[in-house]
Amino acid sequence: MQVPIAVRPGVRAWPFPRLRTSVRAEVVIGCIAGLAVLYMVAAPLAMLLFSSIRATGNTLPFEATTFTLANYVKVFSSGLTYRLLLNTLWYAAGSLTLGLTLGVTFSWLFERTNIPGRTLLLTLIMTTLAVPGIVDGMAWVMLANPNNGVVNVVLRQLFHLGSEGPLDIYGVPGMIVVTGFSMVPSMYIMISGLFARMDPSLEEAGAMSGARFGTIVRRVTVPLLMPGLVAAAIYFFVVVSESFEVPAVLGMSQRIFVFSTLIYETTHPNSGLPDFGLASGYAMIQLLTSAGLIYLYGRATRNNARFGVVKGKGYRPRQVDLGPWRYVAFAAVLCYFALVTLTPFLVLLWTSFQPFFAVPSIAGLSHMSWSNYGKAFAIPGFRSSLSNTGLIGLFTVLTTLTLGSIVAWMAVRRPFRGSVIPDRLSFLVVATPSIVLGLALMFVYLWIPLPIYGTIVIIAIALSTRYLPFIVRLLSATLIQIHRELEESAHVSGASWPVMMAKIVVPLVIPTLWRGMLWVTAHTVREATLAVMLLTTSNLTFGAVLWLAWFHYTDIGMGAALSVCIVLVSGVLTFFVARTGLSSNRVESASSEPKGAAVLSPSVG
Amino acid sequence: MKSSFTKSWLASGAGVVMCAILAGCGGSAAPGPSGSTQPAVAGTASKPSGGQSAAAAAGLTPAQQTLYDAAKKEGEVIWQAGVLDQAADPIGKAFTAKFPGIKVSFNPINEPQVPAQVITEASSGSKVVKSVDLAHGSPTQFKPLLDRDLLLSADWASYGVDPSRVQVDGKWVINEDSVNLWIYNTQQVSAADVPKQWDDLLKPRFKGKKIVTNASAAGLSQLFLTMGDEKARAFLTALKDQDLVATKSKGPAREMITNGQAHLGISTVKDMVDLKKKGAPVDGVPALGPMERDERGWYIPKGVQHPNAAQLFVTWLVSDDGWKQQQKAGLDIATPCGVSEVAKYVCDSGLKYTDPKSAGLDLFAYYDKLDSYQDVAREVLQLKPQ
Repeated sequence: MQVPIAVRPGVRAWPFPRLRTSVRAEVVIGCIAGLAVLYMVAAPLAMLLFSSIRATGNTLPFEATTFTLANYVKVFSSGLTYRLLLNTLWYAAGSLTLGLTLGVTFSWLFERTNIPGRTLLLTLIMTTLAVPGIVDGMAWVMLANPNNGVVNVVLRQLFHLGSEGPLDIYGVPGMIVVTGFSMVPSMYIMISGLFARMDPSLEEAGAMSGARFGTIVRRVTVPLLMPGLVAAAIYFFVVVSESFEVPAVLGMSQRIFVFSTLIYETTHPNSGLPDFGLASGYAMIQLLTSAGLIYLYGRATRNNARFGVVKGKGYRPRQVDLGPWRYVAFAAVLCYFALVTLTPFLVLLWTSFQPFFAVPSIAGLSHMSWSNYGKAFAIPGFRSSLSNTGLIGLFTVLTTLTLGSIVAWMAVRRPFRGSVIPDRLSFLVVATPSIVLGLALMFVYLWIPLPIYGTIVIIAIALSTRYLPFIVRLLSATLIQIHRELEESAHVSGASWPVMMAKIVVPLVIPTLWRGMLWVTAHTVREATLAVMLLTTSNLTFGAVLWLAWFHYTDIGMGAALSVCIVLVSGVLTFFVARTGLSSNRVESASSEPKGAAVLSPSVG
Repeated sequence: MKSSFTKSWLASGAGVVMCAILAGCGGSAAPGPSGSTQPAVAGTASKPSGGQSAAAAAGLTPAQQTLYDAAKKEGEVIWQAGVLDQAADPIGKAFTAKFPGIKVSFNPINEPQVPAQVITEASSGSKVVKSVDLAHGSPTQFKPLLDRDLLLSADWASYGVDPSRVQVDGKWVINEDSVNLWIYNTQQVSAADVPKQWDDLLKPRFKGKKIVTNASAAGLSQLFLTMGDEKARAFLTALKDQDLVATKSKGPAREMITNGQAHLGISTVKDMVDLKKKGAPVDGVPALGPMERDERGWYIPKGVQHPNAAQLFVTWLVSDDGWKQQQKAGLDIATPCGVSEVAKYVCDSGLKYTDPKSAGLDLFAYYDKLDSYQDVAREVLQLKPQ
């Protein structure tokens, strides 16, 4: 029983019938999106490639210098490259294992079980989303440095230990722990939707067939989750490999270097100009690794119809009743929060009221004052940094979500030849060091007659380029679980592509869009590298102010004060989003009978 | 589902409103930290009243008056100085009070980043340097600009600038200097344990993350000048075996000593004096010397938008009036004896230091040498990726 689309209220037919007969709407929109992605990523990628074949010992890539392969020779013939790649592999794999394990655990608890106080717990876990890695690193140093880390001091007093340790946050294990913990909010955002959209009937069918729990997990649950988990793993592996902040605080201090430290060293010399050529050569390794990983991902999810669990029949994710264990789970999550979020936050809070960092004590109470907050708010341009950050956030959220939705749909549904190219292109930017991305954008917008250099628009474009891959991965993982029969039923019913997207796809991915919005907003607030690189008198951002406090003024009290502000803002934002749509249970269980399917194709399924 | 969908969109709208409120929190979206947010300055930016102008002009030499008139036509100056970031507003206001009609804008760009940005801007189609009109830095920082003939030379003497401050053929005006100093945490190191000579740093007492150094090895490279290559290498090798903690720069190292995470390390005399004033448990180790003395100053790139205003601003910054404003902001000089609290400490404590003059080298030869020594020191201390 098909109902003609025209008679359905609220559903409009494609308004340009002549156009529809000649060129399909998805092809036109896909091409526009592809061009937009190309516009955003072409400059950094071209600059990366160009720089890597320029002799740039004391020159910038676009200055009069020669073309050379010396950078590649140096990169590939040096034992240092391979040693640091091994370090990076160990660091990234460890962090990923911890972050993924915790992310999966929380996703399952919050999306598939009846754990009490979900909104509260979720807010508590996600509070650190907007906290930059440098703040995390510094907070953990205050807590667990071997000399006077607060936890060490307490442990030594309690157990009458020696004058050092017992904990030592410096080194690779410390880097893994801090990075793994800081990855959890982003990881949850990326993978929680997978659990929310899991169709329990498949697992129940397995159980009714006599399969044991382990078999069901291995044969049903894990395969269904696999595309999303692989996407998340690939994305975070590359991000961790590129990240610099935690290795700088906890690794460099012990002369432990990873690949990102090497790129930083090359681009931040003690004197003279950065060697962008050599840095680009190093970055090309990351780029090739990313390209390889994304290729493998593409192969693994080629037959993506296998992973579609949201179908026209309707699906109703059911919760697992934990019984009395739900209180144990509740307590465990609270303990995690106390250890990973609350304790570092309290140390930051204490430091923010002190003239300089000191181990919390009764005597320290007499030194408390608001002066660090006063100093922070008196930073020149602080007020305008708030308005700039708000505007940049709006632009970045709208751009990444709109473009990301189209690019992800094109990559998953592959409506025409080459429709995956924007997705693959956008991902390659993840591996481009921020400093190279910043230089590329600076140079491009100084040359082309578009007056956005020095404005907040150039930062918004830079951040949109940087965050697009995350949104595409996030939405791809969601779309891959939505069976194409829903869209086919819309098509059969006569709905045009834009109508189908608006009425079927978007409502089903609303919770994902919420998570994406939260992630992009939080990361816009915390981002500093690009904002500092593109800084002029008129585009100071909050992230740049925070960076100035920690790195430029090296004022720990002021940095702590700003960090406390960022945690509070992040907490409020997360709470707001958590109440509306962060936990997929709230929306997706309600939308378990997809509107589009019910209205447009009641006969299907 | 419908209600949920509607609710989501309502919430989405609320999210957008929240972003708009955040944007609104900053007041006007009009750009401009520092001077650009000062309505009084903006109001007088293009046409100051004759009375103001006459008052300001009083006491100016003809050359200064001509410069001021040209600067007023430009109407704005954009400046950068890492050490003065937090005092940018009062300094800008004080300048505008003295020279009405010139809007002062501050760019908090990082000092080492300026040359790459200036070269990029100067290489672009318009050849106009937009990010700064004048910048603060050391010879090693502005050398890439000097090598490309991208520094503006001015007749500073005609503006009344002390000739001893003018260096590099009028392309660099020295503003301040500082001297490095080993400092220690007085709660962690007893008076008896305070090092009296370099070898004391190698005692078991300071083994195991007790000594902090910065990743650039600043404050150690001069040992090659004073000890000689072989002895300096041997000393640094032994120092490395003390299991040092390393930080990216001197700032975090100073914080680590202040809060007791490390027991001693390298900072500056100025930082130590300031920390003591704040009541921090730190003190200096003047017996460990000679240390490095650094000079910093102002340079104006060629192709800037407001070259006359930039020259006027530099002239004012290094004048008594401008220096007072910088001192209020916490800036100080370390030499000669007695000119400041910092200089007094340097003299009274007997702290020895090296500089181009004491090394008998010209400015760039001295810094080139230190740079190469710094590289060796980083390698020996394993502060470089290897």
